[in-house]
Amino acid sequence: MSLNNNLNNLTATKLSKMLRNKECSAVEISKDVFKTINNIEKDINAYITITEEDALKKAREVDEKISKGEALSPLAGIPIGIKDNICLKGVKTTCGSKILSNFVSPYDATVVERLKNNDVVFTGKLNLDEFAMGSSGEYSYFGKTKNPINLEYVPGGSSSGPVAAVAAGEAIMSLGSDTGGSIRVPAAFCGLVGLKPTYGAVSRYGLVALASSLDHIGPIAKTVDDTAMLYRAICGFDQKDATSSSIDHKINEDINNFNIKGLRIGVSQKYFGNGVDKEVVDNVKKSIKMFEDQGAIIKEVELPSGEDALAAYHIMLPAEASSNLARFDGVKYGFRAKEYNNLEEMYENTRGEGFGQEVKRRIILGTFILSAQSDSSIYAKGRFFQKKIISQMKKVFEQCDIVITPSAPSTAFKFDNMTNDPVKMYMNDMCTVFVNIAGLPAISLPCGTGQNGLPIGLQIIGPHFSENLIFKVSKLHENFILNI
Amino acid sequence: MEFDVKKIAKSARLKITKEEEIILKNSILDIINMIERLNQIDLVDFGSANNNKSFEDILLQDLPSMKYRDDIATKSMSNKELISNAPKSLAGCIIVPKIVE
Repeated sequence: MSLNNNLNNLTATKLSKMLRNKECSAVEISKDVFKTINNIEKDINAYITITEEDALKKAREVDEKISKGEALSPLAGIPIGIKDNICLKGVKTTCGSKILSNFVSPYDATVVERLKNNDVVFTGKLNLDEFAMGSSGEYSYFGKTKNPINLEYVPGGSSSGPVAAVAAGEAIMSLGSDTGGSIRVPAAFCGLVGLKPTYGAVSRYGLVALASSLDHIGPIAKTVDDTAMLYRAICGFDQKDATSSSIDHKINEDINNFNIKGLRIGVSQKYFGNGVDKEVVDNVKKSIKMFEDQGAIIKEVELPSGEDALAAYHIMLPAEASSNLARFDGVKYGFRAKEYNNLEEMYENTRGEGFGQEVKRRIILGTFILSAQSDSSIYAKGRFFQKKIISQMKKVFEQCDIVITPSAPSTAFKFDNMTNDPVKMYMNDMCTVFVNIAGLPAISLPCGTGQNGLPIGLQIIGPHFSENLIFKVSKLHENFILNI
Repeated sequence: MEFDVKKIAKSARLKITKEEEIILKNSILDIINMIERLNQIDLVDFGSANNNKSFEDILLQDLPSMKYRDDIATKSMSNKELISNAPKSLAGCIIVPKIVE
């Protein structure tokens, strides 16, 4: 068949067409992916578990279905990696932590089940900051992941493996999770497209919970078409997640040939000034100008400040995380300490040895926030502020149709730059956390390159369940960037 | 704000070393310093729009109602599957240290 030996660098949309036209086979695609994994994974460290055997078995199955002329999903035979906090039955789900280093998922997450129904080929489980706490990819028990564009730089986190794998051709697409920016920040750092869907659009059943009111699962890919295709396969109501919405996602809506004339784009000076690098500001403004030239109307709107949102976020997140992570006690699953004299010591030693420092920091802070020792109004203030952000964003979307900000205040940085200063590290999420707090959908798109040669990201935010509009605007942007 | 990191770690059932105690205490104080900026935010306008409502009521209002599963029995995991991840087990039971002194 095909002589093309770089199938893993193509998009899912293109590969899907090639499979249909019999220009390549599913096995050939997977073999190219695993060849790349074998060559470069030791440098990148994107994977915690690689499932080559299962993947090739599945790919052969897909080829057989194609040869029989069976009707298949466009995702059939496409190699996809899964962040290692999402359950894939029979495979380890470690969350990048020692405490779950031996945990084997006894069931599939709903998103995995849906992808299985689409005959997707799973390449394996991808590295992350421990329990998705981090924005650089440096906090995994299984070692840091490196940015494939330049190995001296971080890939961003916490979905470090999912972005690195796609950027390096070690997977065609991937699924990540986003609690405060964990899909969008790393997508920006690696020059990829990453979507955090509306809260309730994608089931979280089978995602190991960090902060349940802020957690989302979303797709990461090289292009907008691929991102939309993967999103459309995983969205929709799920009985197993009480927060999932039964709204109609209109997944057949065409996202091409969108006329942007008259579309109102909201921007806020708060995200183009202090704390955001000039080269980021300049590139994002260039894209906004392009939209304006095509007939969009640019409006200044009053967004919540990144610093206020971060403050509310770091009240809610540790409070919820300390409660969610109470289940890891060495009794029913996971790691158990070797030395202890009684039950209490077993808990304390297991958790003390099993969790890394950032996780301990957030558990202690969360326990403090929820304890009688703290100013009792602090948690209430965080929640009140969440309400305030939600109503503020409602007003913003009366004045405009979408909002554009940078995805992150800078491009990727070098390793060990911020690991000793958590507050500085948290600032990487300054453009993204208010979006999680308000439960809005947002995408990160590549928009130019910084002086260090690493990509810059632009964020498009829309009202609840406006993913189709976001995809349409994103496609226009992608065409613009490709034609520069 | 004063806080006793050791005491809190204990109530979170988390053993921390002396070294960690210092690092964690300093960094958590930095974070508390960061989140205390919310004290300056005026919540009065928000409160006045919610006259006489309790904190819980304000938080719960406008929340979309959740759909519950139908109350019917479905197939659940077998004992073998449930036990398969336990660190120590015997005859379908999880082994733990003595819990009654």
